[in-house]
Amino acid sequence: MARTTTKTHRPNDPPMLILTSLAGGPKHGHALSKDIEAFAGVVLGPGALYGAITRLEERGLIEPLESDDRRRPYRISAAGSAYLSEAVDEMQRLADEGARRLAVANQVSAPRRAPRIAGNPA
Amino acid sequence: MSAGELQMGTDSGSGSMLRWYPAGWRARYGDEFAAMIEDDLEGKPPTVGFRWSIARAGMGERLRGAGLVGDSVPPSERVRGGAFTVLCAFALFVIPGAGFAKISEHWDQSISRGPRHVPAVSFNLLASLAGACAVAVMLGALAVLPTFLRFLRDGGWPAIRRRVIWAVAATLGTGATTAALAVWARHLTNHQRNAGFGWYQLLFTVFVILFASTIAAWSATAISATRHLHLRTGQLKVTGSLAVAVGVCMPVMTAAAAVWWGSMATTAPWFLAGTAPGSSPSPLAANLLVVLIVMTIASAVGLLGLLRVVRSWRLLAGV
Repeated sequence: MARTTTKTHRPNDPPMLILTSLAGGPKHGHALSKDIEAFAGVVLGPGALYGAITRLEERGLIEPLESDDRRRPYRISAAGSAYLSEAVDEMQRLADEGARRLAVANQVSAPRRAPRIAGNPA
Repeated sequence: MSAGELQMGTDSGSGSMLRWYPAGWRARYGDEFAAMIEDDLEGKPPTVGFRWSIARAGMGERLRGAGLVGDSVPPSERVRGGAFTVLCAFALFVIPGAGFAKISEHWDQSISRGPRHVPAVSFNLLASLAGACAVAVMLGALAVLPTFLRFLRDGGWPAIRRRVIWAVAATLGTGATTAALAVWARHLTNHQRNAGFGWYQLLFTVFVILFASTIAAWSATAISATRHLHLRTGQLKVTGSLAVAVGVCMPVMTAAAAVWWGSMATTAPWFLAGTAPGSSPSPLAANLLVVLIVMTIASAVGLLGLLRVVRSWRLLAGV
């Protein structure tokens, strides 16, 4: 079985979603959850969200901000921005490669399909 | 509603949810986590799925905090977590192991010398490895003993007092039940001891429960005490090596028990069923089946701990 040897980022991983959300500005837990649901369609419950927040803070990728409220906001750190940037570049490369290969595949298959489509009145 | 109120149960729906998380995590994130729960619920009672997602996440945090999963803790914590897992697995293994010792009592008297070879080899292998594992656990305890004594001298006793008292109470109960069983057993035949003598079986069941409680209580005490200790890399290497050895031995012992069962089922099924020698009862003994299932579960858990130690070993060497 083939095994990946390089670090891969998955766009729907809670840490990636949180970093992406915080790239748009500091937010507290509930606001993060709502924002992620809005831009990615992924619902993160308190358990999953705070598990990811814990890991991200341990790795220094996000930072808590002072707050008078119990709803403590977080912001993305410089290291977090660099990490997200690298991840976005990697996903972009993958997306570009996928689009390029799909385009080639469509070019190869298009002439074969054409006569049948032409012969179909629908 | 503060994290403290959530824990104390001011609201019947969310009262116990934070308890799934370790104390250190609650101290850091408890308040804001409670605020998020409030915001998410919007005054509605939590669903079973919501509770379960928090319970699962909380247990995950506990496992991470103990160094049992994830890579967010230092290698030393991972080795320690792996060794704890093997210790817990061995504690679980001891219970079916004791059951196996009871079931196989006097097995060699029920079978002639010729066909005794395979069951004898498997039985002796199991017994030898069980002894080796017990020695390994004691050596591991000896390796951390100086640090443990320093911990006690520095005022650590209150942190483990309650667990030690429970463990000692369970040990005394097991000792008293063992003595009662030993005295009673002198007046019974092999058949009465192994099958169908109601009150003796009842006392034996009490003994098994107390024995299991004793093992669990001392294991919990050992883990609780060791978590307070700052172990040196050398100590972690010793305990990690011993944990790997025990983790390897458990599946071998399980296989040996299965071979012993198979060979006894072929050559002396009457011994397993407690019937007259020479009869042909079914060799499918329910008690042996339970013993092997629990041994297999314990071995699997032990292998998980072993892998945790092995995977973290290289990183530990670089500490």
